[in-house]
This record gives sequence, structure tokens and C-alpha cells, in this order.
Amino acid sequence: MKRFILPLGIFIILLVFLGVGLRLNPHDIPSPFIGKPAPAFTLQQLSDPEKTISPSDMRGRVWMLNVWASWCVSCREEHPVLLEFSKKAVVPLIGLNYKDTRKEGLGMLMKEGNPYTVSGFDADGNVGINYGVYGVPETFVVDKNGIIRKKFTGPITPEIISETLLPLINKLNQEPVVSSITGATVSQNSLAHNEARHA
Amino acid sequence: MHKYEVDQVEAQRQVMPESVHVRRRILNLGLGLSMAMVLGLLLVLGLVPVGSLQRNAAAHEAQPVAANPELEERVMLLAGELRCLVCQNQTIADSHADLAIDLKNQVREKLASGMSNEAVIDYMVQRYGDFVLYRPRLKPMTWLLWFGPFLLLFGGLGALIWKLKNRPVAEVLSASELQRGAELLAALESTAASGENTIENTNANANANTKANKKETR
Amino acid sequence: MIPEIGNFSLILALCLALIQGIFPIAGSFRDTAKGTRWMALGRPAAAGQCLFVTIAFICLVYSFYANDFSVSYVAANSNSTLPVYYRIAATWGGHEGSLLLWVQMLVLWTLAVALFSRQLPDQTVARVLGVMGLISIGFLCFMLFTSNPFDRLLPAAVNGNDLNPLLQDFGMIIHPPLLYMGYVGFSVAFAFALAALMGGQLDAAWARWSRPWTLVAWMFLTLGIFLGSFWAYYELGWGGWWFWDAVENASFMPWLVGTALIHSLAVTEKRGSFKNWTVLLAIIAFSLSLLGTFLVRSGVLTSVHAFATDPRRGLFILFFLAIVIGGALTLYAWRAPKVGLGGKFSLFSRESMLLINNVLLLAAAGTVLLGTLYPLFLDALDLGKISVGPPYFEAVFVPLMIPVLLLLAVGPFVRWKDASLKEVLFRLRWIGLGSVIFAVIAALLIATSVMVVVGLTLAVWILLATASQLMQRLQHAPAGTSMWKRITGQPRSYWGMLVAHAGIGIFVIGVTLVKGTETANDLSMHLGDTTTISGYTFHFTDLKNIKGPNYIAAQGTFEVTQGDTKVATMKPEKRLFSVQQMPMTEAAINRGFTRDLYVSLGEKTSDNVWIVRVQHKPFVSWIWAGCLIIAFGGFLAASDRRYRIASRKKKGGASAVGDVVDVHPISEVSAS
Repeated sequence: MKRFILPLGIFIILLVFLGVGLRLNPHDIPSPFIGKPAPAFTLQQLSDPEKTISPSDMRGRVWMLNVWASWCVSCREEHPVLLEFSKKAVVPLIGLNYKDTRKEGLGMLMKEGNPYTVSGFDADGNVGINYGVYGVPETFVVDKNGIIRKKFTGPITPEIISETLLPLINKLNQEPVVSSITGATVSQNSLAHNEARHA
Repeated sequence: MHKYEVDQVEAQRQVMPESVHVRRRILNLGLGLSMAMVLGLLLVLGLVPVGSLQRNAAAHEAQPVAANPELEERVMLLAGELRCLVCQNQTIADSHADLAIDLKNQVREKLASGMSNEAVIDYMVQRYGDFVLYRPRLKPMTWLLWFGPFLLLFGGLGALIWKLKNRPVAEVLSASELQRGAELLAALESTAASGENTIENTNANANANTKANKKETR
Repeated sequence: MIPEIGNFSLILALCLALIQGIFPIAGSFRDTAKGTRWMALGRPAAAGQCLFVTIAFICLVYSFYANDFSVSYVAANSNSTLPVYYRIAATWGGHEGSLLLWVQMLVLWTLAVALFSRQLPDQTVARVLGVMGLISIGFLCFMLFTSNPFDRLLPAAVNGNDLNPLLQDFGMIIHPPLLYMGYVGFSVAFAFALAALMGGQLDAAWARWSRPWTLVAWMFLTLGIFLGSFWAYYELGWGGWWFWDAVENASFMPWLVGTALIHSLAVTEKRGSFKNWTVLLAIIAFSLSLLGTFLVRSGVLTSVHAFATDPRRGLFILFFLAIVIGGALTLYAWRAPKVGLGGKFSLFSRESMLLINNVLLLAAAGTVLLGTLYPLFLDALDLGKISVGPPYFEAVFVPLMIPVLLLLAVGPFVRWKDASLKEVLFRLRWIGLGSVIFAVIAALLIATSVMVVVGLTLAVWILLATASQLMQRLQHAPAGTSMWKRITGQPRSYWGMLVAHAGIGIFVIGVTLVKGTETANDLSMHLGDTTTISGYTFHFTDLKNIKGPNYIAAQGTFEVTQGDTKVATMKPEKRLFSVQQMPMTEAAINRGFTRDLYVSLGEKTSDNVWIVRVQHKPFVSWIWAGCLIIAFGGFLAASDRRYRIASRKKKGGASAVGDVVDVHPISEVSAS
């Protein structure tokens, strides 16, 4: 007689999965870069083609990479939030101007304000592909050792900033720097000492 | 031969011709159909061009987007395995979205630079995760996916054969069931004899019987 | 005013559905006069429900026709520039309206059951109508509480959002109605199954009643799926016709189980075997229909077909699913053991062959379900996100189908109850030989692909076997019968089987050759360029802008020649629809018996330079022909004499016993 209950049993299991599935979002794609080094690149700066920007420039600090474009409606929505955030000067905010023209990119920054410490100009989108960008805006949080720790897809909202972003940055700021050559932890004091010597 | 036998043979020849004739026609029909089908298919197969793109020596020949047709074929092959991430379920081969075109161009570039098919797939997976592949990779997480269908098939067939082999031998009717059977048969015969055996009556009987049964079981 | 009438009609329909769902079933378990009165409520309630749902449906159609943008659903899916026939089709272009279409189909089927069931016992009719009423209740509640098509938009929009350009096509007018006729039609088989479980009586008569309804539903589903595929082929612009998309799979699974069901019903009808297995199949077939409804409207899976909905609606449908399917399976678990095993048959017999057919088809349906839901399973277990697409399904489904196609040919040769393997092999010897010879020749002609050779050989095997079956059957008549009498003497259900099986053979030829030998090229073409593909030369001669009723388009002209003969002029377009600002590719297709030529415009790279995709698709029309032949086979089988009431009345009492027992003299002789 047990075999007659089998169809019902299978159905109940299926039902449970479907129920859980209702709470998930099939469009939310996790990034394979979490916990991996930020892919290297060297891009011309948006404002000045003579200068370049590269992730290695940011070694030793926690920083954020925000992928944006002037043709992207959601980026414009996100823009004021980023401006507010950048004023707090918590971390450097590096922009990646994705598949845009210099004229329109700079135009947007001039009109709407510039929250970015500097923006890289990714005209053909290849750097974006290297980062697994599939839609703009996207934001990456990179730690002191150049490892990507979090990726946000879609516009950053004030809630995201207060609930997720700021606590994460705090946590990452407390982590030590690992020397890229020896792998040994470099103390903050010696880092400051080195900077003082170079000055 | 005795005259009677001759007559018999004659008679048979008169009675049989039609059915022999029909049998032959059926055989011809069947053979004809089969041959027509097979020949037709072979002919048509001969028409099916199995060669690849033929190059026209004339000028104004349109160029494939890739440097050469073989490369383009590889691009199409791989593009058919990769998902367009901004679309509602399409490959990058079929989608016209910007990202899809970008990714297809990336695939072309990497193949042109000498990467193998596998390497290009790895390249994409490194950046976008397993989600970008339409053919899931075989790993412990997807064992059930890849082996499941064959488990279903062989499990189902196995269960079927086991069940057929282990069926209980013919059920023996109990005495009351035998009596009931006899009653029903008698009822059936009597209504058939009276020429009123219609579906309606049979169903009316069925209705009446179920009511009778219900009364019994209560 | 009209939308309010529509809304009110739906509420009235719900009230009648409540009556139809509750009273007849309750009455069927009572042997009192009250019980009989309650049972008698079934038919009038069904008629009334049909009336009110139809009124509501007409109200919605009218709102579209009259461009009433104060109705939120109309504003979301229509536009005043939309041609009138598309405005009407837009009624089922979105979630709410398509639900109303679903319910409309359900009440039509219910009415049909109510009208054509005079010969069934009252109890059965009451239970069948009751179950269908309960399903109605669920859908009507879903509509009225979460997805009302008559919700107002105040203030009214000036103009609507327009129907998605991809849907502005003839296919939109017929594909959803036919498809829904199929989906909903399985509810009749479902209702019959539950009625049988409730009564605890499952006999050949039950199978005989269910069978024509199931065949007609299956036929409609075949046509609906065919249309969807045919439409995608010419509409989407990339030449594909099946993508194993979640929603396509959602229609394919009930079809597979439905095919298993019609075969299983044949056995239960003829031999009284497999009773509770057939009941289970009927439950599963309709459950998969409902599951499809859930998948399309809940947002759990990504699909081009998915309606935009919120999870709250998904929860409602899930709850509904739990009650209907869970209830049915619980009833099955409780009552099925009481139903006997049925007639005996040996290990090698037609019954066992059909059981193998069922197992294979169910394994196939299970595979499709597994692939469709696997990403969801992994995500729910927090194991990451993967995609399962055509490469997986093709890799897995094709091997599963090979045994089905092999046995398809063999089955009709195997006798009922007890057959001899040796005898069957003997009867198949010429066909087997012919197929092997064919395989060898094909392998020599087409050296490129194993799959093409295998596919074609299987198709030839099926077609030869079908012809041979017919031949052998025609031979087994009393000596002296004329050819004409022999042919017309076969029952339509037999012709139905032959035609449907032959249709599958033709379908397999089409699929094999298209998938195995089609060629496609993406080219960058300047105006004036030519390209040659598989012997056809395409000359890009003209490019201009044209204007349509609600779009502007770039139209290219391609002159196609084969050697020196002109073949066709093809005009693909790239349309931009004014309201939604959505670009759409309108491919140019030159159809032929042995090949289709397919040209579509991709992107414009600069003035007079376009990326063009040119394709040569051999035998793709055979796919469509195969599907239509299969559907026709279903129609023939459903219109068999023994299901037609009029002819039964004509034959009168003499055949009545014959009807119940259902012996076909010719078929039994040939089977022996």
C-alpha cells in the first residue's frame, strides 16, 4: 500500500521547493569574484587621457569601484546617493565609465556632480567584462589587499549604505594589510612610516 | 482427376480469384509504399547538400564577420552554449542585446588569438560564474541532473519488470463473489432476451446496483 | 459600465461554481431524494457558470475593441493604433486576461461534458462536474482576489502601453486559445479519474468515457504546441523553433504524460488492465498543466514567456496547487488500493509493451521536469545559480527517445495478453532488413553525422513498420472481402494510430535533417553584396525605409538564385514600434517542401551595411507537417464510431452489448 502514497510524497517535496523558490530572485546572479583578487587593468582617466588609473594604485586601502554610464537611467537615479556618500569621504570611490563617450561621460559629471575620486574610461567595455559586469550600475567593494569582497548589482540606495555598506567598510578597515611580496602582515605603523619616508 | 474434383477446383478458382486478387493488391500496395518511401528518402538525401559554404569567385562577396568561416563556425558553436545575462533566457548567439554582442565579439577575439574552445568557456565562467553556461558542468552538485534521467529510465523499467514478474498468481473468487457473478449473468441474459438491453438500461441497472450495494454496506 | 458588468458576471460565475463544486459531489454520496436533487444541480450550474464567464469574457473583449483605457489591464496591453484584430487578441496578452481565457475554456469544456454525458450514470456525471466546478472556484477566486482584469485605472490613461510587438501577429490570435483548450481539456480526464476514485469503481466503461475527451484535449495540445513552435520560428527572427524554455517545457510535459495516458486508456478500455495506473496518469497530466500555470505566473523561473507578476500571486497559485493536486493524490492513495489489478497478461504482450511506453514517456517527462526545475532546486538549497538550457536537454532527451521510437514500430505487431517474441521478430524481418540497408546507404551518403543516420533510420523503421502493419491488417479479412471494404472496415481508432505514428516518423525526419544539416552564416553585407550558402546565392539588392500601421522599418531586398534560375525575392525587415520603442526582427522565409531559406537583418553597422543572418534549413516543413499529421491522427481516433452518440442510437439495441464489451472483429483477428 505504501507505493500509493509515493506520488503524494514526491509532490509534497516538490511543493516545498516551489515555495522556497517564491522567495528567491532568479535574476540575482552571484559574482564569482567574491574572495578573489580584483582583475588588473590600466585605463586612461576620464578627465585626463594622459593619466591612468589601476587597481594596484589603491593597494593598502579599502576602496569601491562603481560602474556607470551616462546613457544609463538607473545610474542617474543612483548618482545623488553616491554624491552624498562621497562627501563623507569614507573610502575612495573610483568610477568605471562603461561603454560611453568622453564627452557625454564628462558632461554628466559636470552637470550632476562628480562623486568619484577618479573615473577610468572603459570605452569598449572589456574591463567591464573582465569584472563580470552585465548591467549598469554595479558596485564592487575591494579590500586593502585588492580582494573583491562584495558586489552590488543595481543602484545603491541609502538603505544599502547604512545597513550593508558602512558596516562592511568598517570591518574591512580593521583588517590588516598582507604584503604582496612576502605575504607577511604589514603593520599600519610601518606603512605610515614608509609613506613618511617617501614624502 | 475425377470430374467432381475438377468441378471443385473450377469452383474454387471462381470463388478465390477475388481474395487472391485483393491479397496481391495489398502486397503490391505495401511494397510500393515502402519502396517509394525509402527511395524517396534516398533521393532526397542525395539532394541534401552536405558541403560547407561555397565561395563565389565574383566580386562583392559578403564577408563573414569573423576572419574565416571556420572561426565563425566555432564562434557560433560557443555562442550557442553561452547565456545572455540581461535577456529573458536566450543565448548570446540569438540575442541582439548590447551585452550579447559584446560577449560574442569577446569570444571571437579570444578564439582568433588562439584560445581553445574549452579555454574560452573557462574565460567566461571565470567572469560570470556557472550561470552563463547553458550546459551545466559535471560536478557533484549536478550529478543528479546528469544521471537523473538515466536513473529514471532504468529505475522505471527495472521496477516494471520486477512488478510484472512478481504479480500474484490468478486470484480466486470467493464463494459470495461467485454467487454475485452468477446473479449478474442471469440478469444480463434476461434483459438481452427481452431485447431492451441498451446503455441506458445497463446504466440504470448500475445505478440501482450501487444503491443496493450501499444499502447493504450500511 | 461594461467592465462593471464583466466584474459582476465573474462574481456570479463564482457563486454558481461554488454550487457546482459542492452540491453534486455531496449529493452523489447520499442515497436520499435530497441527494438526487443535489446531483441534479450539476448541469444547470455548469450552464449558468458558462453563461456568466462568457459574458465577462465578451465584456473584456469589448473593452479592448472600444479602447477603454480606464480599465487598467487594457491600458497595459493595448493602444489605439493597434489594428483591431490584435486589439482583440490582446485580451489574452497579459496575465489577467489570459487567466480569464483559461476559465473560459474550462467552462466550455464543462458545458460540453454536461451536454454530452446523457449516457453516463448520474453519480458519475455529478462527480465529474463537481470536480470541474472545484477547479473553477480556484481560478475564479484567484482572478477576483488577486488578478482582476476589470480593475479600473483612474484617471484613465490617454492611450495604452501597446501590445508587445512580438505578440502582434496572427499566431497570437490562435496559439493561446488552442493551447489552453489542450491544458484545460486534461481537467476532464482528471475529473473522470477522481470520480472513479470516489466511486471506488474503475471499469472498462470508465475508460471508454474518458478516452474521447482525453484524445481531443491531447489533439488540441499538440496543435497548440505546434503553433507555438511554428510562430517562434518565423517571429523571433533567429530561425530557432524550440528552446527548451521553462514555459515551452511546461506545455511539453503534459503532452508527454497525455500521450502515455491515451495509450494507457486504450489498454484499460480494451482489456480492463492498468486501472489505477491510468487514473494516476490522468491526475499527473492535469497536475502538470497546473504546474505550468504556476511556473509561468509566479516568477520563479526566467522565461521569455513569463508574465510579469509578483510573488504574492505565486503564493496563491501554489496554495491552489497544493489543494487540488494534493487532494487528488491523497484520494488516490486512499482509494486506489481498493481498485483491482485488472486483466492478466504475460511478460511479453501488447499490455507490457504499452506499459514500457508509459515508463519511457514518464521518464522523458520527468527528465524535462528535472532540467527545468534544477536551477531552482540548487538555488533553494543555497548551492549557487546555474543555467540549464538546450545543450543539456538535447544531450539527455534524444537518447531517451530512441527506445520510444524503436518500440513505436514494434508495439502494434504484438498481440494482446500473450505474444510470442519470435513471431513478432518474424513479422518484422523485412522491415528490419530494409532499415539496416537504409542505414548503410545513408551512412555512405552522409558521412558527417552519426545522429543524422540514426535519426533517419529510426524514421524509416517507423514508416516501414506502419506500412507493413497496415498491409498485414488488410490481409486478415474473410476471404472474398473487397479492397474497399477492407479499408473502410477498419475502425477510425486504428487509422488514428497509424496516422499518428506515421506523423511521428515524418516529424523525426524533419527534426533530424534540420538539426543535423542546417547551415547558418552571420555576414556583414554591404548593399550590392552577394553570398552563397548551400548552392543558393543571395544578392542584397535594395534597402529602404517603410512605414507600417504602428511601426517604421528598414527593409532589405534579397534576390535569391540557384545557379541560373531565380528562386525568390526575400524582404526581411527590422521594425521599430513607435509606442514601446522596441526593435523587432521580421525574418523573410522562403518555404519549400525540401528546404526553407531564412534571411534576417541583425544590426546596422553603418549606412547601407548590415549584419545579416542567412540560413538554409533542410526539411523544416516536415516538422510542421509531422505535427499536423499527429494531431489529425488524434482527431481520427477521437471520432471513432463507438464514441459517437448519434451513430450508436442509429445502430439501436443490437449493438449495445457489443458496445460495452467493445470487440472489433477485424482487429481481434489480426491481433491473433
